[in-house]
Amino acid sequence: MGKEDVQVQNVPDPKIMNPRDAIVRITSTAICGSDLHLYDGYIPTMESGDVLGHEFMGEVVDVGKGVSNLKKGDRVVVPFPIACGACFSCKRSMFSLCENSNPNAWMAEKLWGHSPAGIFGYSHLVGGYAGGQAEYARVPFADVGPIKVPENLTDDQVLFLSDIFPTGYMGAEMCNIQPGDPTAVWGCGPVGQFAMKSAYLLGAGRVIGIDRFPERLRLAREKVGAETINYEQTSVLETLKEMTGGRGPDACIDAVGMEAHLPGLVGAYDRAKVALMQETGRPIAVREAIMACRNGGTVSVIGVYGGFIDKFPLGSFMNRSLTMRTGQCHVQRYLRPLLERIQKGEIDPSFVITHRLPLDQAPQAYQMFRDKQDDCIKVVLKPGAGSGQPAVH
Amino acid sequence: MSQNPKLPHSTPPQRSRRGTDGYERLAKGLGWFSIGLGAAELFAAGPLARFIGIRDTGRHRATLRAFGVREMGAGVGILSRQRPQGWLWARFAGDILDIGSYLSAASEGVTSAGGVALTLTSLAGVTALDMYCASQMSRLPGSATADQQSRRAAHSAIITIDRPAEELSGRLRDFIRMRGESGESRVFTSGVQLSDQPGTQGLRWRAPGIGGMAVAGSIRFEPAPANRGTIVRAELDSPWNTGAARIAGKVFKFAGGEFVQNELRKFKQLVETGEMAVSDATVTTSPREAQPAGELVHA
Ligand SMILES: NC(=O)c1ccc[n+]([C@@H]2O[C@H](COP(=O)([O-])OP(=O)(O)OC[C@H]3O[C@@H](n4cnc5c(N)ncnc54)[C@H](O)[C@@H]3O)[C@@H](O)[C@H]2O)c1
Ligand SMILES: [Zn+2]
Ligand SMILES: [Zn+2]
Repeated sequence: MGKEDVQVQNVPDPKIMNPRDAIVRITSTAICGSDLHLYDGYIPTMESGDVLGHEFMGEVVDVGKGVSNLKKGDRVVVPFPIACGACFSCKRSMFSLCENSNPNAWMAEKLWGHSPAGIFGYSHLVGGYAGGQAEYARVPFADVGPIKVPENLTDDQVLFLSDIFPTGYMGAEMCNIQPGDPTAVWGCGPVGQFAMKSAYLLGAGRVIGIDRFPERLRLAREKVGAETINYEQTSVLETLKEMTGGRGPDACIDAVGMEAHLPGLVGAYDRAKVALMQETGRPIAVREAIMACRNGGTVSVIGVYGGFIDKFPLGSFMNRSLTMRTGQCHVQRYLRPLLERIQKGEIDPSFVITHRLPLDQAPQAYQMFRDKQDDCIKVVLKPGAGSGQPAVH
Repeated sequence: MSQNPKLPHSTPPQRSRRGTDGYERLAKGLGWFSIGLGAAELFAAGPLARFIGIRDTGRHRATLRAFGVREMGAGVGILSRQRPQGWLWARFAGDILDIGSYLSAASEGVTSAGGVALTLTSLAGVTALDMYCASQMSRLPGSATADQQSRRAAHSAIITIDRPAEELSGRLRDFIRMRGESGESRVFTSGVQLSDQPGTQGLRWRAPGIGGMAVAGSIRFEPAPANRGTIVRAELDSPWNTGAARIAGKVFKFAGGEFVQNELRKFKQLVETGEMAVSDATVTTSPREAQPAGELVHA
């Protein structure tokens, strides 16, 4: 299945195919937890040779004749969902649900009932677009997505506008946090870090991060100011009760997704079910988030799921009047307001970066990020240092 | 061929040897089989290719996964209905496609002769079972309405476009002609003819089709509630009602509804965004990797 096999290959340079396209020469790109789901084979319809990557920025080198707001030389960050800006969903600012950007919509409809937007480098189910872990990328609807960024901000400061900063922000925003609300975040990966930071920006009283890797928990404490729970050392449900006067957090955010880890019986149960293809992910964090949430509270799911899951605690969810909100991030909606926050110095998103490597070293970078070697939290890849682009093999 | 979209009628009810329950159980079994097989094709295409004795290439995996998606769709369809004969016929159509594609994949080189023998025997077996179950179910008393409904779903298409009908009716005519000239469409093929539906803004179309199987149908417009533009509905005619032509018709119509749906989607893209979405993997008609197209594009 080409699992765990990322290679750097030479591929043709992309060309303008439609009037509203632009070609971007990539200056920085990153590996996302979502790429790991592809890497580990949890998202179907990846083909050998597909170019990965959906977090990228760079310089505009060509524009189609339908793009009037960008010109050659502009420095832009590109949002990961591809959106037309004109359809029912786009008009309602739900850009990751664009009705016009997934040319393989029929495939997604079979698996999910209806199709979401196309996404760069994220399997054929969401379009089969070549991704941004490359030297150049073709950007459709370039008049809607990319945002120009000022020269005084570095790539490292603005790159994460493409995905994980808006994603974390949307995760917190969906909880409708009221001043002082206790908020818990499962997963202290890069997305979790931004969810915690955003919860504070939106007025949360107390933010609690849950993970098992000491360096990630430390980052949450030191750079975000969160309290942390190591789920390998203490019971998450008991500790959260303890911390919230027995009620549970008002807002519970799943920033883990379908590859959640859990030692012991429940974890083994889900691993076995996945191996037997009885479910397509391990929904351990979202189950726990539901059980932990205060009566009437909100569970926000930004961790990615692909197919079907088992033992979903619908009883707890229904009887306790919980709300669940979810989605691939509607990045375009957040670009401008979050860029302003960066400019005002309210946040410097580069705090999650632990490694910068040439694009050539993508195979090692994937392995390091997946296995959390060398305290890796977020890898930024720099094209130009080498010559090829990573592709699944 | 009739001018009106005609719904196929079922043969008069007959007493069957097996009870109704028996067929329903068999259908459920086939439904679960579809889901299991579909999941295997979708999530384990590589190992499956090796198991059935064909080369484990990217293209074979892509085909297996596409089939997996179709298979799961059929499985869900079968399990969600008490009388799923429409979906069983769809499975049957899929079986034929499977056998054809399998033979063509195997002709490129076989990695395990035992695997091939086993696969062909199983494919033949399950095809016979699907056809048997589908034809028996179609004969059960009370099948007509359910049958009509599921068939209608299999050869119709629907989409909402954010524009008034007055604007769409002219543009749709241009679009269909353009698709006919492009030679890329499987339903609006070259030589497609259009006629008006008197008293409406809708139209009828008739095209030579592919392989001598003419296709025809009608497209209607109605306003979408709450100012959401226009609902566009397309319906394929069902001129095949007897014998072998009927089966050929079923094979085509299962795919036909999807082909028309894809055309409506392209039309919506063109109207709403000014262009038709293409990705690196869709620039050619056969599945390929998501890499910049380069020299690979053959116009
Ligand atoms: N919705 C969106 O638009 C969107 C965008 C980007 C990423 N994502 C998703 O967000 C998720 C996180 O992304 P990331 O880049 O931070 O990935 P990551 O793999 O770096 O982080 C996941 C973290 O979850 C932790 N974890 C695993 N099991 C856990 C458990 N049972 N309880 C608590 N923590 C657990 C891991 O130790 C890890 O630190 C992924 O599923 C990714 O696909 C969603
Ligand atoms: Zn991402
Ligand atoms: Zn749109």
